This record gives sequence, structure tokens and C-alpha cells, in this order.
Amino acid sequence: MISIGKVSKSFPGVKALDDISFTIQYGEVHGLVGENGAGKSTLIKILSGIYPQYEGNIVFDGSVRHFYSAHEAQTGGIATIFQELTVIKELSVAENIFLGREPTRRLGMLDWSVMRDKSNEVLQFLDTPLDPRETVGKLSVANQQIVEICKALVLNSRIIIMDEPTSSLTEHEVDQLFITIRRLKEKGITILYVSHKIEEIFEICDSITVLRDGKHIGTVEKTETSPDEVISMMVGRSMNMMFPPRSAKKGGLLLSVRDLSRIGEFEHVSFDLHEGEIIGFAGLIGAGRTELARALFGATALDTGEIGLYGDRIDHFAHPNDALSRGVAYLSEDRKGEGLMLELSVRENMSLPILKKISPYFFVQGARERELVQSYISKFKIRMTSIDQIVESLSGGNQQKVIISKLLLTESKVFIFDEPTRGIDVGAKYEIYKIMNDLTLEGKGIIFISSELPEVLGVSDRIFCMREGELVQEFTRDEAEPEKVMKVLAAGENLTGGDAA
Amino acid sequence: MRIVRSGQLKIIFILTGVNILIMAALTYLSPTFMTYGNITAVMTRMSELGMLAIAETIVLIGGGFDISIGAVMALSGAVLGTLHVMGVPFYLSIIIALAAGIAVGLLNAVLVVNLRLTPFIVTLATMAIVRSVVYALLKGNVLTELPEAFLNLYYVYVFKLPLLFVILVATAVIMAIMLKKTILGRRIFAIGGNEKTAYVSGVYVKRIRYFVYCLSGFICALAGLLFTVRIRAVIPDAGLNAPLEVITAVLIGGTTIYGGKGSILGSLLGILAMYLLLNGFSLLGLNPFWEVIILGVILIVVIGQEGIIKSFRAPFVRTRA
Repeated sequence: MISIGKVSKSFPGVKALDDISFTIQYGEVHGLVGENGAGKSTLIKILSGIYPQYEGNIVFDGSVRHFYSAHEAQTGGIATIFQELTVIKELSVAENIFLGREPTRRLGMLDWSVMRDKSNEVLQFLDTPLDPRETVGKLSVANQQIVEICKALVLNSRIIIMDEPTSSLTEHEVDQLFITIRRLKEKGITILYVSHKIEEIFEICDSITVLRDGKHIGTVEKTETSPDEVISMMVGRSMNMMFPPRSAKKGGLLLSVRDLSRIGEFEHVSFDLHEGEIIGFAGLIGAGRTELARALFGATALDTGEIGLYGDRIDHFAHPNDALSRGVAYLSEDRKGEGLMLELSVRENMSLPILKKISPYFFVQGARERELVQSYISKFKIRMTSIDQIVESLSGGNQQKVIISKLLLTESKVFIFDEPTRGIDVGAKYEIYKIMNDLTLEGKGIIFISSELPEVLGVSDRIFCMREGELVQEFTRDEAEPEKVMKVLAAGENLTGGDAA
Repeated sequence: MRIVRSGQLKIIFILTGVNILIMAALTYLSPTFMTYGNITAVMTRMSELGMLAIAETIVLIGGGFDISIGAVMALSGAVLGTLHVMGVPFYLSIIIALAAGIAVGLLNAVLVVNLRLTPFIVTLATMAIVRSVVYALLKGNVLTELPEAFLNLYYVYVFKLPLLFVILVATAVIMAIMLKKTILGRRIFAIGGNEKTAYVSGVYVKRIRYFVYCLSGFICALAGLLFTVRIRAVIPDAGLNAPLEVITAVLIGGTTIYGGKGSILGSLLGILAMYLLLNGFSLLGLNPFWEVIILGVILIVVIGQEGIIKSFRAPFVRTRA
């Protein structure tokens, strides 16, 4: 077993880990959970040799081990698969698997046949029929992850740390990953599985360690606990209700969408959105929901279809600015790529869409801007030292609140929220559901896209199931049972290895 | 009024300190340094590269890149001189010279925005093309046949400061206000910070890019006119080293090549430091060619520093993400 004894780690001004002690049994899948900032990443980085300086000790194979670099940890038997994969996309599968320890023949020539055979061997063990000669960049994210696992296996790693491994996988791919994990477990490999997703943890892990604010809250056997208990350990308060109750009344028609198509992405999509309503779009990744949202918002061009807004007929929005000026706002699923300007301040991020509104003549009205931004910061309790703080330095949940505030400042009537809770902790998620709820109480309408079925079902009044670019079925809130919806989503799927990524 | 964003304040302080240090050293080493004649000479000399630095700063903040700046500067002088020799009215020649600068900016913008080519490659190509046009216009010769009244602007002083320097400062102030206080400036920072975010926030990204490159062309053309006044001639090799010198100064001044960050004040402090060093070299009888080598070294150190600072910062940020 691996025992982590009294491990602490401080950064200037923050105690990231405070006297953590727990043990991981060999051959088990050990879940590590906690909200953002709980210290999970710090602990992973210590175990994988990225942070060589810490207090306490790590006992492994009966002796104290201290890794001073990622390389040392790897040769010591600990491999880490980070959320952001470290494969080199231009190289082949075999080259990636053997990166940095390529078998050579005389004169330092690469031994391709050994590389290929050994790659095939591990790929077969994982039951993944990949061609070792295939370029990794052409593979789906799920398969790229497999390549990383192969890398770990070739190294004879005894412990594999997986950091949020399912964050960009479809449900089907997640199932595949779990099969792989079970196979690794059979081989006696220990897995430290780090995730936000409680359901996954309960599906795959044998025991669970909970961290909160850098402290060890507890390590429990899965069979002796329940999701509710783990969640309350994580957040430090009991969360019987994961979703705020829906109380908004359905009002007049806000948006009606007829026969929207964009070739290769989605076809003949029609739906209505009313005041006070949240409509959920459920689907697997690649079902065309994000593409639909972007085209609806005017970020990409539509091929056919028309949009009605507050009773007026408009063909389509030619530019996001058209949509925003008519009261339609869009929250992108890609927080860092499309939601924020990381190096700019909170203030500049939040006021961007409303600059024109608050500035008659050309000059930005600084005082008005600050006042508006400040009001939302206090309203949503966004944690920051100053409104001029760079957005990059905020936590994920707070970053997301900055984006949502930015959209709310536009005083739009229709909001398209695409994966608004991705990668943020349970507490912040709840706050976002609450914000959505409050918006509908004010008579706004929300289109809610999420790949996490429980939240779509928990938050939406009506649920649209999207599959392969088409709206296949609509459920009311009462009809929508998880199994029923999932069956619709996954029916008739012909996933080609998740090439949507 | 905050001229620079908070993160930049440190760089501005450091650069101001460096400038003061250089001045103190030169005052100590050379009796002629702290004289009215020498100081105004430095001011005049830095005017045209100062203008180019303003243009480059704006383009870099907007997430672009422009190495055609020196060539555009040469072009405006060459157009002015050629048209004047041809007998075109002088005011019209000036307008056409400035328009030529805007035209090159427009070409850069079309290539970057519509054909989606990398700004570095685009402006490298336009730099070569524009420079060839300059050689063709001037047939490789120096042209000195210019109206006296125009050339005599060199001797005009405003409040005891040379006019060329006053034009530089005025341009800098206007552009700094544009960047920091107007909607347009905010949007330039926004597209440099993250083009996609700006787009889905309703910013017309393409229009802003067009504006930025054309503005750069205009300011560089204006720099060409200042340069012509200063050396009383049109020369085909004007601004040949400008991209290296200007980009170095701008990066030293805290503007990044990644966009969304930078200040005009910083860039001008960078240019000032450069010219003070150059002035010191000539006052102390050192070979001025060393300057280019020193610049190259400084550039690498500055970019290296940025990397070092980032590597310190990254682990801390990541743990909270």
C-alpha cells in the first residue's frame, strides 16, 4: 500500500494541503474527490514529482519515496494522466507510447519493429484496436487517452493517477474507459481516480478519499457510504436537494425556431421557448447541440430555417452583435477559449458587450462601468481582490460567474447556456442553477445545454433530446426519467469512435 | 487618469528608473550630455521611431504583428518626394503620402483578415514589396529636392521643445487615450486578449483588425514625413533597422507579442532608453554599431524574463484552478 503521511504544502499566502494522511491499497481504484481548491491537483502534483518540495512523507513499497521530478516519479512506478493530455499529436501512436525511451538498435537507430510489436501488445491488452502507425492527432480524445495509458503500461507503472479523465468524453467513451480501468485493476495496477463526478466515482471506485480546503476529511469504503454522504463531506454542508425547486410560471412566447439546418451539423430543428421557461437540450457530445446554439446566436451561418423573436419574424442573426442587441445572449461551452479574455481584468471582461450601451459618445463611462460590474460581483459573491484583477487568477467557478454576469449585464431576454457548469465544483454548480432559476422568475427564457443528464433533468421544464443533429424527442419534466431519456439519446447511435472531438 | 493598467505599473517604474540611471550616468561621464542642445537633439532623433513604436504597440495589443513599419515609413517619404518632383501640389503630395501608408495597412488587413494568413508572414512580405517600391520610385537615389518651408519645420519649437517631438508626444497622448478611454480601445484590447471571446461578445473583430492595421499604416506614414524633415532628404534605406529596434523597445516596454497587454507609455520609455544609450555612445566616442548588438541581447533577455516570470507564477495559479 501507499501511505501518504502528514503531507502539507504551502504556496505564498495559501496552505494548499494541510496535514494530509491516508492510505491507498494496492490493486484498488481509489477515488479522490473535493471541490475546486480542495487540494486535489496539488496532491497529484506531489505524487507525480512536479512539486518536489513539501512536508511529510510518502511511503511506497515499504520505504519513504521522494520524487524530485516527473521523470523520477515515472521510473518509480507512478504515471499520471492529466486532464490536458500530454500526447504529441504530430507523432504516431507507437512513437508516443515510447516517447523518451525508444528502443534502439546499433548506432542509435530506432527499433521500429520492437516499438510496433510492443505497442500492439499493450493495445491488445486494453482491447483497443488502434494502428500503432496512426497519427495521434487524428484519434478521438478517448483514444488519445488510451495512448497515454499504454505509455504508463510500457513503463511498468504500478500506480496510474487519472485527473478528471472523463471531462471530454462521451457517455459511451466513459463506459469504454471504465472497462479499461477494470482491466488495469485485474492486472494489479492501482488507480487514483480524481473526479468531480460523484456518479462516476461510485461506479468505478473501491474507496473514496475526500479533501476539503486542503484538509483530509475522510477516506471511506464505497460499500459503507452513499453519494449524499460524500457530497456533504465535500461541501461541508448537507445537500439533500441538488437542484433548486422550479417555481417560475410559463409566460408568452419568446423565441420560436423553425426548421433550422446547417449542413453536416444539424437538420430541421424546431422548438419554442417561453418566458419563465428553461428548456434543456440533452445529447451525447457531438449531437450537434453546440453547433445549433452557435448558429442560432449568429456566430455561424444557417443554411435554412427562420427564427421568430417576441412575435417578429427574423431570418437569422448575421453576427453575434445582432443577437445581443435583440436580447439573445450566449454562454460558450469553452470557458477559456471563448468565454474569457484571461489576461484582462474582471471589469474589462464583464463590460465588453455593454460598452456601447453605457457609453454615449465613444468614451467609456468608467464610473458607470465600475458601478455595474461591482453590483454583479456583490450579487453573486464572486471572490476576488479587486475588479481590476486578472481573470486568469480566479477559480473556475468564479470565472464562470464572471461570464454569466457579463451576459446578465446585457439585460437579454433569451439566454443560451452551453455547459455552464462544466469543470466547476458542486457548490458553484448549485449557485448557477439558482441564478438560472432566478432569471426565469424575472420572465427570461433559458436554453440549457448539458452533457450531464442529471442536471438537464433536474433543472429543465422541458427536455429535448438531440441525436446526430436532429431533435428526436421532447419530454416534459414529469415524463423525463433518466433511463427513458438515456435510451432515446443512445438509441441507434453509430458512434465512430467519437470523432466529434 | 490611469494611463497604464495595474499589471504594467511595475514595468513603467522599472523603465523610468532605468532611464534616470542612464541619464545620471551620462551626466557624470559627459559634460555635454545635460545641455539644452543635446537633450533636444535626442528628442528630435527619437521622434520617428517613437511614432513607429506607437503603431507597433497598437497592433501588438490587438493581437497582430507588423514588421512593415519601417518600409511604410520609407514609402511615405518616397511618395512625397517623387510627387513633389513631378510637380504635384505639396499639400496634395502629403495627403497621398499618408494615404499610401493607409493603403499598405489595408493590404495587410485584407491578407490577415480575409485570407487568414499569419500577420508575421503577411507583413514580412509587404515589407519586402513596399521596400522594392521605394527603391523603384527613388531609383535607389537620395532625393533632396524638397520645399524649404517643409524642411524648416525642423527648426520650429513649441514651448522650447522641437516640433517633431511635440508631434510624437501629441500622437502618443491621443493614441493612449484612444486605447484606454474609448470603446474602440477596449475592443482592441479585447480582440488581442481573445479574439473568439470578443466575437461572441458582439465585437466586430474584422472591422477592428482593419482599423488597427490602417491606423498603423497611417502613423508609420506620418513617421516618414517626420523623418524626411529631420534628415532633410528622402532616402531609400529609411527605417531599414526599424523593425528590430522598435519591436525591441516595445517589448521592453511591457507589451507582449501575445496580444491584449501593453502600453504606449512603456514603449516610448523603451525608445527613450535606446536613444539615450545611442547618444551616450556617440558622446563617449564609442562605436554606435554596438547598439544593434546590445539591442539584440536585450530583446532576448526581455523575452526570457517574461518566460521566467511565467514559470514562477504558473504553479501557484494552477493549484487554484
